[in-house]
This record gives sequence, C-alpha cells and structure tokens, in this order.
Amino acid sequence: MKKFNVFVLACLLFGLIAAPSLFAANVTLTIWGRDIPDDSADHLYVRDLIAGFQAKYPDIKIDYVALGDPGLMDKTKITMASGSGLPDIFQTWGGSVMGGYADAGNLFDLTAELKSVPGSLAAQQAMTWKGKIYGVAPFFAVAGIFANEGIFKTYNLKVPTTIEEFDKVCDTLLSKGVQPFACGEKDKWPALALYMYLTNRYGGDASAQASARKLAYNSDPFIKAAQLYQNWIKKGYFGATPLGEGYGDAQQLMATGKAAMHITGSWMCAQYSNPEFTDQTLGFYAFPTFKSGGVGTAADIMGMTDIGFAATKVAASKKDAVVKFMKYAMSVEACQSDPGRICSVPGVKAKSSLTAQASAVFASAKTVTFWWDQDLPPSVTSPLNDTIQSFFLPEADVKKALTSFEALCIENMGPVKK
Amino acid sequence: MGELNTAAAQQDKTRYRRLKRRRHGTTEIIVTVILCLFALFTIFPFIIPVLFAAKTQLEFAYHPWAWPKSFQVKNFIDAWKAVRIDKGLLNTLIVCIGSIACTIPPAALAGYIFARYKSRVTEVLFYLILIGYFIPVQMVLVPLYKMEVALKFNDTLYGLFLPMAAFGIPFWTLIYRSFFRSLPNELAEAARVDGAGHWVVLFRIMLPLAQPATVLAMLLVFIGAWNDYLLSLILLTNQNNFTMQLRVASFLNAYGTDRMPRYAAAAIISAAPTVILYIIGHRWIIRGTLAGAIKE
Repeated sequence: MKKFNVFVLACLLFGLIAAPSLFAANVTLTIWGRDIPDDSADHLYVRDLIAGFQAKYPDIKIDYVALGDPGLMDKTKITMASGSGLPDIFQTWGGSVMGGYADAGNLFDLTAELKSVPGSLAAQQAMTWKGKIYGVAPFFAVAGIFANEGIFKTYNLKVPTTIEEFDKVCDTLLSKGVQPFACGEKDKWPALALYMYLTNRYGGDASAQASARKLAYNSDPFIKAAQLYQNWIKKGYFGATPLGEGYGDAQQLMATGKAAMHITGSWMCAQYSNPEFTDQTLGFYAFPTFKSGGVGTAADIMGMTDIGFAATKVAASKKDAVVKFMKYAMSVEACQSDPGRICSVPGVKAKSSLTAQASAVFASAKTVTFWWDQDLPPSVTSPLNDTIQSFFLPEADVKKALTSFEALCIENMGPVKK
Repeated sequence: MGELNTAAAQQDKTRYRRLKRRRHGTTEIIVTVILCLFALFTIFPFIIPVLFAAKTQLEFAYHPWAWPKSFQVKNFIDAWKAVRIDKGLLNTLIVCIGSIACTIPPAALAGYIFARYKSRVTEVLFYLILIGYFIPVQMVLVPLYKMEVALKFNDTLYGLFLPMAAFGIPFWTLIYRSFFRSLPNELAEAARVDGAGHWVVLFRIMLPLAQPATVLAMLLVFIGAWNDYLLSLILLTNQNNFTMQLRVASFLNAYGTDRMPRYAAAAIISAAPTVILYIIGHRWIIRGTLAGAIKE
C-alpha cells in the first residue's frame, strides 16, 4: 500500500512537472509583420490570423513581431544582407525586393506546397520569383479612382469614362473651388499609380517591354504620359502646392470633400468607408482609357500585393508549420475579418460597398502590372520616384528627366535590345 | 543766478534720467516682445501635438488648427494600450543605464590619459579612437548584426547597449580630454607632492573637478540611448525586449499620419520622459556644455 502511494505521488509529481511541457507548443514560428495586431479596422486581419491560427494549431506557437513601415523593410534589408538572424516568415509585397532576397539564397522555395492553394493568379505571381513560389498573398491592392460621389452629384458631373473627359470635369471642379485630384506627392510614391495608368493607356505593355529592355524609358508612351501629367499639374488639377502635400494630407482632402478624386490603391477602402474617418460618400472606379488613339484597355490594371507573407531559409526546418500557416493565411476563415482590403481568396465577401467596387475592378482585370517601384530592380526604384516627382515642377523638361532615368536603367538593367 | 543755473541743471538731469528710463523701458519692452515671440516659436511645436491629440479624427480633418471642442482622452488611452509603454520602460532604463555605465568610465579614463600623458603613442591612439566618431552607424549595421548573431548577443539588452557605448566612447573621450586639459596641472602636481598616486589624483581630484562634464555625459548618453531607434530596431527582435522608442515607432509606423490625433498622442507620450529629464537637468547640460567649450 505504501509503495502504491509513493507510486501515485510520483506519477502526480511527474504529471505536474511534465504536463506543461507535453502540452506546450513544440514549434515556434517567428513572423515579422507590418501591422500591430490590435482592434484598429485595418489591423483586424493580422489580429485574427494570429489568434485563429493559435486556436487551430495549439502545438505551433506564433511569435509575431509588429515593426510597422519602414521598420519592417529596414530590419528585413539588414538581416537579409547579413544572411543571419532571419525570421521564419516575413510580410512582403513580393516583386523584385523579395526576388533579391531569393537570389541571395535567403528564401525557402514552397512551390510544391503552395502551387495549388486557391487564390488569384495575380497574387500568386507577385509571390513568385523566377518560377518559384516563396509565399502567399491573401490580399491584393489595385489602383483606381476614388471619387467623391457627393461632389460629382452636386455639380452634375460624371466620373470620367475616357481620359479626354478629365479636362472638362477638372476645369468645372476648379471653377467651383474644388481641387480635382488629391495626390500627396511630397511622399514621392503616390504619383506613380497615375503615371503607370497613363503610360499603359498610351503604350499598352510599354512598362513590361521597358523592364525587359525591349523599349526605352524615354520612348513615346512614357514621354506622352509624362507630358499629359505635367499639363494637368500646370492647370492646377493637383492643387496650388502639390509638392507640399503628403499622402496623409491627400487623405484629409478627400475625407473633408476638399478634393474630388484620388487615384491610389484600394488599401484606402477601409478608411474611406469609415464614418470616423470621413463623412463623405466615395466610390471606386476603374481608370478610363483614351476614346481614340490609345493602346491600353480598361482591363489593364495596376496593383500589387497588399498583404503577403514569404518564408525564409530558416523555415526549412519547420516546413510543416510554415505551410500550415501559409494555407491558414489564405483561408476564408482568416480573411473574412478584414473590413476593407481586396481578398485574393475565393469565397470572401467584401464588407463595404467601396471594397466591393474595388473587387469588381480587380475581377475585371486581364493584365495586372505590378508597382514599378516594387517590381523594378531596387537600384532604379528611388530614382524612378524622383523622376516622376520632377514632373510636378512646371519648368521641368520631362523628356530630359526620362532620358536621365533611361541612362540609369542602361547602367543597372542593361541597354535596350533591338 | 547761480541758484537758477543749478536748479535748471538739476531739472535737466531729472529730465535726462526720465528720458533714459523711458528709453530703457521701451527697449526692454521691445526686447521682451521679441523674446516672447522666440519663446512662442520654441513652444509651438510642443503645443501643436496637444492640440491635435485632443481631437477626433474628423474634427482634426476639418479644423486642424482650431481649439478642440472636447478633450479626447481616448486617443491617449488607445496609444498607451497599443504601445504598452510600461513594458518598454524597464528595457529602456536598462539600456540607458548600461549605456552610461559602459560609455562614461572608459571615456573618462581615456580622456584623462590623453590629456595628461602626452606622447606620440597617446596622440596616435587618440586619433585612432577619434576615427570611431566619424563612422556612421548605418555603415556598419550589417557586419554589426552578423557579429552579434555569431556572439549570440542579438536580441539581448546588453547586445544593444554595448554597441551604443562603442559608438559613444570616441566622442566622450574627446570631450573629457578637452575638459581635463582645461584643468590646472598644478592641482595634480600639488597632490603628487603630498604623496598621491595616479589613481588618487584621478579619482580624488580630477574626476570631481570634471563633474560638469560627467553630468553632461550622463544626461546626453541617457537621452541618446532613450531616443535610439535604428540600433534597437535592427538588434532587437523579441517584442518583450523592445525598448520604448521601438514600441512607439512601431505604433507610429503602423498608424501613420493619416490618423494624426492618435499619432500625436503617442508622440506626446514618447517625448514626455525626455522632456521632463531635460527640464530637471537643463542647468547641468548648459553648464557642462559651456564648461567644455570655453575652457578648451
């Protein structure tokens, strides 16, 4: 009896000591992300992704580190350059930046595991580099026109359906004291979306050809687009001091009805449909085409990953857990909590009419051109944004600016092959 | 006649004094107004965030410069909750104290040697150390991170304050050197005559005299470590080790200026400790800076 009691006590003691370690997570995934997983509307996906994954897979612990932006980019750049101290998974927009990390041998090829995960082709392409899939992109962003429906209604105007109509609409808006476009060019990158659209509408796949070095960046479509852009700037369509307004200011102009249109990414859907952020009614429209003389079509869309995750070489030893996470990130269950982004996972319904409109634009896309400043080699992306910013100077010679940019591209990407 | 002259002279004198006082008074008013304007310019950046943080997002969007209709404490609560500054406070204090402990003693000792024992060797060594002052942190981030990973120092608080000290020592060596040089050598010689050795001269005489420099160094190293973002971002990964600045920066980066009221609230919370510290220690900072500058 005494021996039995000792045995039972020993078992209990063992149970007490061993139980926590038996039930504890045996794999820890370190994830570097952008958003803080809090209750803020545009952070809900990340919050629920982590909580939902932990609940579904209690044996896998998530160590999520929110770094914001540019914190995430800076930290990733340094660690990738050193090739050590990498996380298992990191948030990325894919493209050439991710490609550079893949070329350096820092990423983990998950092609076989993720090839069949349901999702949009464009989103998968963004996370693919040189034929290998390194991650998933549950949310995709496309650029379009956010238009203030109230302003258009008040002045009996219609959102332009051809590029030629812009001048008339913008002149009317200016005469009524409304700034036609909000941009935020102080931050440089916000002007890119419109320039990409104009170049496409003039020259179709000109940008793809230029990045493949079959066309120069100072060729006709690029120059014509820049000239039209600068012409609009000179007419005051972007306000009196467009270089003095940051992206945050552009949002405020739209939120308060001081500007009528904002050509930017669909990531703004959550905020532009949030009554705490704006009391205006906004709509999302595809960027129009030329009535005559253009090449690009309305189904040529500019955009890229909104939220994406890629695995690093460290993840090789935790392959199962990483694949489970990637698949869960692409599940309806995880994606449905996001209120504003365009989901690349089939079966996730848009929560606001603005997101539904943006999703419809994305669904109509026949080609998707990725943001040039994310898809071109990093050595030319900053100068590209500088070049576009120079269009905002009325005296600037856009031809000269594009020729300088082309010279840089020749240096970094090689000459145009004929 | 003579009396009249004296009376007139006295009247003139009084008039002159009055005029002088009036002129003096006018100058004083002009100077005060100018100084008040300067003060306003200085205070304005501190007032603006309070003005912004007190508003709702929409109120800010429509009337950014107007007086807030009501004070939105929610912005501060949200900022505090998201940032969890309380968690970062201890880490930051450890980093600050570690940074002070690893920067000031070696810098003071090196500064003393370079000031008092001049030879070709010490001069060459001094300039070698000084090279460190001209190396920007950004330039060595990748090798530093690699080295920290190899030593398993990354993601530790000492792994953060040790490089901070390494970057700080050259500058403070330079300051201590110029400070010790400005002290009269006779004091040390007198102590030596009384039988004091090198250590006694340094610790009993020279270091107490260098108190303004030490206080200045402590305050500025503390503020530098407190405000550090880049090194903390690269060298720390575990959220539990995050310093306050890193938490605040992550919060600000995640929200951006499009949510200015909350952004402003977080900025106020993050700046408060250093502002308070400066208010408490500004006399020493000014005294230390002037002492180092003038006596050189």
